[in-house]
Amino acid sequence: MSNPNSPNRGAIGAFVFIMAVFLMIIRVDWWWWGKKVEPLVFGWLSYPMLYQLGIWLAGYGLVAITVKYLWVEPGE
Amino acid sequence: MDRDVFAVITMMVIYTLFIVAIGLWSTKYSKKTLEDYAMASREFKALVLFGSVFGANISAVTLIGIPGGAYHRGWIMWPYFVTAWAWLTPLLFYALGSRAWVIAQKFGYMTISEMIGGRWKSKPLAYITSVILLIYTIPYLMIGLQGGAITLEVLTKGAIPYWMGALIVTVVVVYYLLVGGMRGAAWVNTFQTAVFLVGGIAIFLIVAFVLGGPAESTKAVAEKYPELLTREKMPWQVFFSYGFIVSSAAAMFPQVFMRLLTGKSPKSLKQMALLYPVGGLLIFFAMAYVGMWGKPIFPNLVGAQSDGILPMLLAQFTSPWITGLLGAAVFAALMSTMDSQLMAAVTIIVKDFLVGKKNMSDEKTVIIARWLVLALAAISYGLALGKFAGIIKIIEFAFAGFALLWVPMVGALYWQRCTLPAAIISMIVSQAVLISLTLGWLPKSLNFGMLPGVPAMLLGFVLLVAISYLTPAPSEDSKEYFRVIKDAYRSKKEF
Repeated sequence: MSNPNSPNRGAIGAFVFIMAVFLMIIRVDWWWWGKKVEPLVFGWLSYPMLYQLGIWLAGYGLVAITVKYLWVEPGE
Repeated sequence: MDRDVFAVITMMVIYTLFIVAIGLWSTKYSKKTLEDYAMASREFKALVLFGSVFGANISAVTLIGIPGGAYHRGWIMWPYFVTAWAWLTPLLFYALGSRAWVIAQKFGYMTISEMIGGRWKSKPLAYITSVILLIYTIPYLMIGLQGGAITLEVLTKGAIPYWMGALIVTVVVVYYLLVGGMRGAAWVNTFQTAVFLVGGIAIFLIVAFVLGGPAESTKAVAEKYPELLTREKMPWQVFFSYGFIVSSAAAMFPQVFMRLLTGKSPKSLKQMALLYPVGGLLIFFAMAYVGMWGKPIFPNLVGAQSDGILPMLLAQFTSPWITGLLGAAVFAALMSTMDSQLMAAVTIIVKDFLVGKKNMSDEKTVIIARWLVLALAAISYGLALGKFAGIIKIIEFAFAGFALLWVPMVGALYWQRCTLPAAIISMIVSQAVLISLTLGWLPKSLNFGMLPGVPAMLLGFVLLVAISYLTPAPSEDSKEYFRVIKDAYRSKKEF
C-alpha cells in the first residue's frame, strides 16, 4: 500500500519520470531501423521485435511501480 | 441468399441481440438523472471500469486500421502504438486521473471542458474546449462506421452493401445508448472487450494456423515483401512522434476521460491501470501480424482498400459460422468506442451548453441528450458515406487534436501560476498550427519529419509558460483546485 508521507515517494516519482522519458527515446532502435534482420526465435521473432517487447515490459514495470508506490488514494 | 452469407448474418444478429439485451437489462438500475444517464452515478468497479475504458479505446482503429496499416507498413504497426500508448497512457491516467477524479467528485464535473474551464471559472474557455473536442470526435465516430460497413460488406460478399452496413451499426449503437445511457454502454463495453480480446487472439491463431504457422507466414512475407519486416516504410521520426501523440491523446479522448471519472474510487483506476497494458499488447500484436501476413494472400490492395484485409482473411479461410462469430468480435471493438464517443459528445453539448440554463430540468436534459445521440449519429453516418480517407490517416489527425488538450489540462491541474489568457491562447494557436501543418498551409519542413502534432504541442507548452509569465498572476479564486486536492490527500508532499 502506498504511503503518502514516505520520503521515498519523491525519489520513486523522479525515477519513473526519467525512465519514462528514457524509454520513449530508446523505443526507436535506430541501429536496426530499415535493416533486414533474420528471425531469432521460433522462426519469426527477430531482435527488433523482441526489443520492442522489452520496451513494453519495461514500461509495464513503471506502471506497476506507480500503482504500488506512488498512486495515493484520497484520505490514505 | 447464399448459405455462407446466411451463416455470417445469423451470427452477427445473435451478437447484436445479446448486446441489445444487455443494454435493456441495464435499464433496471437506471435513475432519471443526467448524472446517472451520462456517468452511471460514478459507481463502476475495476473490471467494468477496465472493460469500459479499454473498450472505449479499442475501436475500428485496432481491428480494421491496424491490420490495414500493417498490410502496407509491416509488423511495426503494433509497436507504433503499444510500446508507448499501452504503458504511458496508464501513467498519464495516474498523473491526470487521480487529480481529475477528486475535482470531479467535488464539483460534479463530467467533461474535459468543465475540468479545464472550471479552473479559471471561464465559460469561454470551456466552450472553446468543447468545440475542439467535438471537431475531433466526429471523424473518430466516422471511422467506427467506416470500419463496420467495410466488415459487413466483405463478410457478406456485398449482400449488405457499405451504406446499409453503416446504417445497421448506427441503428444498433443508437438503440442501446438511447435505452441504457452510460451504464448500458459500459456493461455492453465490458462484454464487448471480452469478445474482441478473445476474438482477436482467436483470429490471430486461426490465420497463423491456416497460413502454415507464424514462421511460414513471416517467411512468405520476407520473400515477397521484405520491406514489411525492415520497417523502411515508416520513417523513424514518425514512429517516435506518434508515441507521444497517441499516449497523450488516449487520456484526452472525451469518452475515456469521462470513464476515468466514473470509477467508484481511485482504487478502481489503479486496478484498471494494471490491466490496460496487457490488453493493449495482446490485441495490437495479434492484429498487426494478421494484416502483414495477409499481404501475400491478397497482394493487390491499394491505399485504404487494405482496411478490408481482416474480413477478407476471415471470409477466405474460416467457415461461415466462425467468420460470423469473429466478425462479431470486430463489431464489438468498433461499437464499444462508438457508443462511448457518442455518449461523450452528447454530454459535452448538454453539460457545457445547456445545463444551468433557465427551465432546464434534469429530466429535460436527459430527453435532449437522447435526441442529440440521434442527431450526432446521423451526421457521422452521412460523413462515413463519403469514405474520405483510410482509418489510420484519419486518426493520426484526430489523435493529435485530442493530444493538444494536454497543454491546458497540465496548466489547469498542475500549475498554480498558469493564467487564463495563457490557456486560451496556447490552446487556440496550437490547434491552428496542427490544422495548418496537416493541410499544408504551413510548410511541412516545420514538422522536422515528425507528425504535425509534435511541433504544435511543443509550441503550445512554450506559449502556455511564456504568456503566463507575461500576464498578471491568477487570483486566489482560481487556485481552488489545489486546495481541494490538498484537502483530499492531506499530504503536502503531493505538491
